Amino acid sequence: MGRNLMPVKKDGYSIEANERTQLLSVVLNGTFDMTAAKDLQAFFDEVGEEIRATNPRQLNIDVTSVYYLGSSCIKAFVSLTAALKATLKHPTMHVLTSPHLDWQERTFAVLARLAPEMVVVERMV
Amino acid sequence: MNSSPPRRLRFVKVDFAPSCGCLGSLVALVSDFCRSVVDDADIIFAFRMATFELTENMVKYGCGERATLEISVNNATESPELVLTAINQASAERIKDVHERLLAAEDAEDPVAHFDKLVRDTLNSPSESRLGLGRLRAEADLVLSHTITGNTASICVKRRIFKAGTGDN
Repeated sequence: MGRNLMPVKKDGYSIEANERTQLLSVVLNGTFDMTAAKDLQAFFDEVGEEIRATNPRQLNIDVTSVYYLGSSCIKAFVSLTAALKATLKHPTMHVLTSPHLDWQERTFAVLARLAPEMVVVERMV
Repeated sequence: MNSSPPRRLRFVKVDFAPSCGCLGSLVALVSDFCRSVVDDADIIFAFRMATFELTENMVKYGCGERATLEISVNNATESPELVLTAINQASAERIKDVHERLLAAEDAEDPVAHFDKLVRDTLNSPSESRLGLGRLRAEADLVLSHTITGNTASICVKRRIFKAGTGDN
Protein backbone atom coordinates (compact mmCIF):
# COMPACT_ATOMS: atom_id res chain seq x y z
CA MET A 1 0.00 0.00 0.00
CA GLY A 2 1.19 3.50 -0.71
CA ARG A 3 2.51 5.26 2.33
CA ASN A 4 -0.08 8.03 2.22
CA LEU A 5 -3.17 6.01 1.49
CA MET A 6 -4.48 5.22 4.93
CA PRO A 7 -7.91 3.59 4.92
CA VAL A 8 -10.93 5.62 6.00
CA LYS A 9 -13.66 3.91 8.03
CA LYS A 10 -16.59 6.00 9.16
CA ASP A 11 -20.19 5.37 10.10
CA GLY A 12 -21.87 4.83 6.72
CA TYR A 13 -18.87 4.61 4.41
CA SER A 14 -15.31 3.38 3.99
CA ILE A 15 -12.46 3.98 1.54
CA GLU A 16 -9.36 1.86 1.13
CA ALA A 17 -6.60 1.31 -1.37
CA ASN A 18 -4.02 -1.26 -2.27
CA GLU A 19 -1.15 -1.07 -4.65
CA ARG A 20 0.49 -3.70 -6.81
CA THR A 21 2.95 -3.33 -9.63
CA GLN A 22 1.56 -0.77 -12.04
CA LEU A 23 -1.91 -0.99 -10.53
CA LEU A 24 -3.46 1.16 -7.82
CA SER A 25 -6.88 -0.05 -6.61
CA VAL A 26 -9.32 1.99 -4.56
CA VAL A 27 -12.46 0.44 -3.07
CA LEU A 28 -15.40 2.53 -1.85
CA ASN A 29 -18.22 1.15 0.29
CA GLY A 30 -21.43 2.68 1.60
CA THR A 31 -23.32 5.93 1.16
CA PHE A 32 -21.34 8.94 -0.03
CA ASP A 33 -23.54 11.93 0.72
CA MET A 34 -22.36 15.40 1.78
CA THR A 35 -20.98 14.06 5.06
CA ALA A 36 -18.46 11.90 3.17
CA ALA A 37 -17.29 14.57 0.72
CA LYS A 38 -14.40 15.95 2.76
CA ASP A 39 -12.90 12.51 3.44
CA LEU A 40 -13.30 11.44 -0.19
CA GLN A 41 -11.70 14.63 -1.51
CA ALA A 42 -8.77 14.28 0.91
CA PHE A 43 -8.31 10.61 -0.03
CA PHE A 44 -8.39 11.38 -3.74
CA ASP A 45 -5.85 14.19 -3.23
CA GLU A 46 -3.56 11.54 -1.74
CA VAL A 47 -4.32 9.17 -4.63
CA GLY A 48 -3.27 11.94 -7.05
CA GLU A 49 0.01 12.42 -5.17
CA GLU A 50 0.65 8.69 -5.05
CA ILE A 51 0.10 8.40 -8.80
CA ARG A 52 2.45 11.27 -9.52
CA ALA A 53 5.07 9.56 -7.30
CA THR A 54 4.73 5.98 -8.56
CA ASN A 55 3.33 6.32 -12.12
CA PRO A 56 1.08 3.22 -12.17
CA ARG A 57 -0.37 2.25 -15.53
CA GLN A 58 -3.85 1.76 -14.18
CA LEU A 59 -6.10 3.11 -11.44
CA ASN A 60 -9.13 0.98 -10.53
CA ILE A 61 -11.92 2.52 -8.48
CA ASP A 62 -14.37 -0.13 -7.33
CA VAL A 63 -17.77 1.45 -6.58
CA THR A 64 -19.82 -1.76 -6.73
CA SER A 65 -20.80 -1.37 -3.07
CA VAL A 66 -21.59 2.34 -3.24
CA TYR A 67 -25.30 2.90 -2.65
CA TYR A 68 -25.40 6.61 -3.25
CA LEU A 69 -22.99 9.25 -4.52
CA GLY A 70 -23.97 12.86 -3.86
CA SER A 71 -23.00 15.88 -5.92
CA SER A 72 -20.29 16.91 -3.42
CA CYS A 73 -18.66 13.52 -3.93
CA ILE A 74 -19.08 13.68 -7.71
CA LYS A 75 -16.99 16.84 -7.48
CA ALA A 76 -14.22 14.81 -5.80
CA PHE A 77 -14.27 12.30 -8.69
CA VAL A 78 -14.28 15.12 -11.24
CA SER A 79 -11.33 16.85 -9.52
CA LEU A 80 -9.33 13.59 -9.45
CA THR A 81 -10.09 12.94 -13.14
CA ALA A 82 -9.03 16.46 -14.13
CA ALA A 83 -5.87 16.29 -12.01
CA LEU A 84 -4.82 12.96 -13.54
CA LYS A 85 -5.68 14.14 -17.04
CA ALA A 86 -3.29 17.05 -16.56
CA THR A 87 -0.33 14.80 -15.67
CA LEU A 88 2.14 13.87 -18.38
CA LYS A 89 1.94 10.08 -17.90
CA HIS A 90 -1.56 9.58 -16.63
CA PRO A 91 -2.89 6.08 -15.87
CA THR A 92 -6.07 4.74 -17.37
CA MET A 93 -8.84 5.03 -14.81
CA HIS A 94 -11.32 2.14 -14.59
CA VAL A 95 -14.48 2.78 -12.60
CA LEU A 96 -15.94 -0.63 -11.73
CA THR A 97 -19.72 -0.49 -11.33
CA SER A 98 -22.34 -2.93 -10.06
CA PRO A 99 -24.59 -4.82 -12.50
CA HIS A 100 -27.38 -4.43 -9.92
CA LEU A 101 -27.24 -0.65 -9.52
CA ASP A 102 -28.21 0.94 -12.83
CA TRP A 103 -27.75 4.50 -11.59
CA GLN A 104 -23.99 3.97 -11.25
CA GLU A 105 -23.38 3.86 -14.99
CA ARG A 106 -25.35 7.08 -15.51
CA THR A 107 -23.56 8.84 -12.67
CA PHE A 108 -20.03 7.80 -13.60
CA ALA A 109 -20.52 8.26 -17.34
CA VAL A 110 -19.85 11.95 -16.78
CA LEU A 111 -16.20 11.09 -16.03
CA ALA A 112 -15.85 9.24 -19.32
CA ARG A 113 -17.32 12.24 -21.12
CA LEU A 114 -14.86 14.52 -19.32
CA ALA A 115 -11.79 12.41 -20.20
CA PRO A 116 -12.79 9.81 -22.82
CA GLU A 117 -9.18 8.85 -23.58
CA MET A 118 -8.48 8.10 -19.92
CA VAL A 119 -11.65 6.88 -18.17
CA VAL A 120 -13.43 3.57 -18.68
CA VAL A 121 -16.68 2.83 -16.85
CA GLU A 122 -16.86 -0.93 -16.58
CA ARG A 123 -19.84 -2.94 -15.35
CA MET A 124 -18.69 -5.91 -13.27
CA VAL A 125 -20.29 -9.31 -13.96
CA MET B 1 -74.72 6.09 -13.67
CA ASN B 2 -71.29 4.55 -13.05
CA SER B 3 -68.56 6.71 -11.70
CA SER B 4 -65.24 5.60 -10.28
CA PRO B 5 -64.65 6.56 -6.65
CA PRO B 6 -62.27 9.45 -6.09
CA ARG B 7 -58.74 8.28 -5.49
CA ARG B 8 -57.57 8.87 -1.97
CA LEU B 9 -54.87 11.40 -1.22
CA ARG B 10 -51.42 9.99 -0.73
CA PHE B 11 -48.73 12.22 0.68
CA VAL B 12 -46.23 12.70 3.48
CA LYS B 13 -45.25 16.20 4.55
CA VAL B 14 -42.43 16.89 7.00
CA ASP B 15 -41.42 20.15 8.67
CA PHE B 16 -37.91 19.93 10.04
CA ALA B 17 -34.93 21.93 11.22
CA PRO B 18 -32.32 21.49 8.47
CA SER B 19 -29.25 19.59 9.66
CA CYS B 20 -27.00 16.79 8.42
CA GLY B 21 -28.41 14.57 11.15
CA CYS B 22 -31.87 14.39 9.59
CA LEU B 23 -30.65 13.56 6.07
CA GLY B 24 -30.79 9.76 6.41
CA SER B 25 -34.23 9.78 8.06
CA LEU B 26 -35.75 11.99 5.35
CA VAL B 27 -34.25 9.89 2.56
CA ALA B 28 -35.59 6.71 4.21
CA LEU B 29 -39.04 8.25 4.62
CA VAL B 30 -39.29 9.36 0.98
CA SER B 31 -37.87 6.05 -0.28
CA ASP B 32 -40.40 4.06 1.77
CA PHE B 33 -43.25 6.20 0.46
CA CYS B 34 -42.07 5.74 -3.13
CA ARG B 35 -41.81 1.97 -2.71
CA SER B 36 -45.39 1.89 -1.48
CA VAL B 37 -46.78 3.67 -4.55
CA VAL B 38 -44.51 2.63 -7.41
CA ASP B 39 -42.86 -0.62 -8.48
CA ASP B 40 -39.95 0.82 -10.40
CA ALA B 41 -36.40 0.82 -8.98
CA ASP B 42 -35.33 3.57 -11.37
CA ILE B 43 -38.04 5.98 -10.18
CA ILE B 44 -37.43 5.11 -6.53
CA PHE B 45 -33.74 5.87 -6.97
CA ALA B 46 -34.53 9.12 -8.80
CA PHE B 47 -36.54 10.39 -5.83
CA ARG B 48 -33.93 9.12 -3.38
CA MET B 49 -31.34 11.17 -5.24
CA ALA B 50 -33.63 14.21 -5.35
CA THR B 51 -34.26 13.97 -1.59
CA PHE B 52 -30.54 13.83 -0.90
CA GLU B 53 -29.71 16.73 -3.22
CA LEU B 54 -32.57 19.04 -2.23
CA THR B 55 -32.15 18.38 1.49
CA GLU B 56 -28.38 18.85 1.30
CA ASN B 57 -28.97 22.21 -0.39
CA MET B 58 -31.34 23.21 2.40
CA VAL B 59 -28.74 22.26 5.01
CA LYS B 60 -25.90 24.04 3.21
CA TYR B 61 -27.60 27.17 1.92
CA GLY B 62 -30.83 27.65 3.89
CA CYS B 63 -31.09 30.27 6.61
CA GLY B 64 -34.46 29.67 8.28
CA GLU B 65 -35.06 27.46 11.28
CA ARG B 66 -37.65 25.37 9.44
CA ALA B 67 -37.83 23.69 6.08
CA THR B 68 -40.49 21.51 4.47
CA LEU B 69 -40.31 18.38 2.37
CA GLU B 70 -43.41 16.84 0.83
CA ILE B 71 -43.73 13.68 -1.26
CA SER B 72 -47.09 13.01 -2.87
CA VAL B 73 -48.94 11.33 -5.69
CA ASN B 74 -50.72 13.70 -8.05
CA ASN B 75 -53.79 11.97 -9.49
CA ALA B 76 -55.14 15.06 -11.18
CA THR B 77 -53.27 14.35 -14.40
CA GLU B 78 -54.03 11.68 -17.04
CA SER B 79 -51.44 9.35 -15.56
CA PRO B 80 -50.43 9.77 -11.93
CA GLU B 81 -47.23 11.58 -11.05
CA LEU B 82 -44.90 11.27 -8.11
CA VAL B 83 -44.07 14.77 -6.83
CA LEU B 84 -41.40 15.91 -4.38
CA THR B 85 -41.44 19.50 -3.13
CA ALA B 86 -38.76 21.17 -1.00
CA ILE B 87 -39.44 24.55 0.60
CA ASN B 88 -36.95 26.63 2.53
CA GLN B 89 -35.74 30.13 3.19
CA ALA B 90 -32.38 31.57 2.21
CA SER B 91 -30.58 34.90 1.99
CA ALA B 92 -31.43 37.23 -0.91
CA GLU B 93 -28.07 36.44 -2.52
CA ARG B 94 -28.64 32.68 -2.29
CA ILE B 95 -32.21 32.98 -3.55
CA LYS B 96 -31.01 34.91 -6.61
CA ASP B 97 -28.29 32.33 -7.24
CA VAL B 98 -30.60 29.31 -6.92
CA HIS B 99 -33.23 31.00 -9.11
CA GLU B 100 -30.67 31.50 -11.88
CA ARG B 101 -29.32 27.97 -11.59
CA LEU B 102 -32.81 26.48 -11.61
CA LEU B 103 -33.85 28.51 -14.66
CA ALA B 104 -30.74 27.29 -16.49
CA ALA B 105 -31.43 23.67 -15.51
CA GLU B 106 -35.14 23.86 -16.36
CA ASP B 107 -34.59 25.55 -19.73
CA ALA B 108 -31.68 23.40 -20.91
CA GLU B 109 -32.60 21.74 -24.21
CA ASP B 110 -30.06 19.00 -23.54
CA PRO B 111 -29.92 18.24 -19.77
CA VAL B 112 -26.83 16.04 -20.15
CA ALA B 113 -24.89 18.73 -22.04
CA HIS B 114 -25.97 21.25 -19.40
CA PHE B 115 -24.73 18.95 -16.63
CA ASP B 116 -21.42 18.41 -18.45
CA LYS B 117 -20.95 22.19 -18.52
CA LEU B 118 -21.62 22.35 -14.76
CA VAL B 119 -19.04 19.59 -14.27
CA ARG B 120 -16.41 21.61 -16.17
CA ASP B 121 -17.38 24.72 -14.20
CA THR B 122 -17.08 22.93 -10.85
CA LEU B 123 -13.34 22.63 -11.43
CA ASN B 124 -13.14 26.41 -10.98
CA SER B 125 -15.23 26.41 -7.82
CA PRO B 126 -12.97 25.78 -4.82
CA SER B 127 -15.61 24.58 -2.36
CA GLU B 128 -19.14 24.17 -3.73
CA SER B 129 -19.93 21.51 -6.31
CA ARG B 130 -23.02 23.30 -7.75
CA LEU B 131 -23.93 20.00 -9.47
CA GLY B 132 -26.93 18.86 -7.44
CA LEU B 133 -29.75 20.62 -9.29
CA GLY B 134 -28.32 19.88 -12.74
CA ARG B 135 -28.12 16.15 -12.16
CA LEU B 136 -31.82 15.87 -11.29
CA ARG B 137 -32.74 16.18 -14.97
CA ALA B 138 -29.55 14.75 -16.49
CA GLU B 139 -29.32 11.59 -14.41
CA ALA B 140 -32.75 11.09 -12.89
CA ASP B 141 -34.97 12.27 -15.76
CA LEU B 142 -37.05 14.36 -13.34
CA VAL B 143 -39.19 17.31 -14.43
CA LEU B 144 -37.94 20.32 -12.50
CA SER B 145 -39.81 23.53 -11.61
CA HIS B 146 -39.64 26.19 -8.93
CA THR B 147 -41.23 29.30 -7.50
CA ILE B 148 -39.63 32.10 -5.51
CA THR B 149 -41.67 34.15 -3.05
CA GLY B 150 -39.62 36.72 -1.17
CA ASN B 151 -36.82 34.81 0.50
CA THR B 152 -38.58 31.45 0.15
CA ALA B 153 -37.72 28.95 -2.56
CA SER B 154 -40.05 26.10 -3.47
CA ILE B 155 -38.44 23.48 -5.70
CA CYS B 156 -40.53 20.72 -7.23
CA VAL B 157 -39.48 17.57 -9.07
CA LYS B 158 -41.86 15.05 -10.58
CA ARG B 159 -42.10 11.98 -12.73
CA ARG B 160 -44.96 9.97 -14.13
CA ILE B 161 -45.78 6.61 -12.57
CA PHE B 162 -46.43 3.73 -14.90
CA LYS B 163 -46.07 0.77 -12.55
CA ALA B 164 -48.00 1.19 -9.33
CA GLY B 165 -46.61 -0.40 -6.16
CA THR B 166 -48.35 -2.94 -3.97
CA GLY B 167 -49.47 -0.25 -1.54
CA ASP B 168 -51.33 1.61 -4.29
CA ASN B 169 -54.83 0.44 -3.34
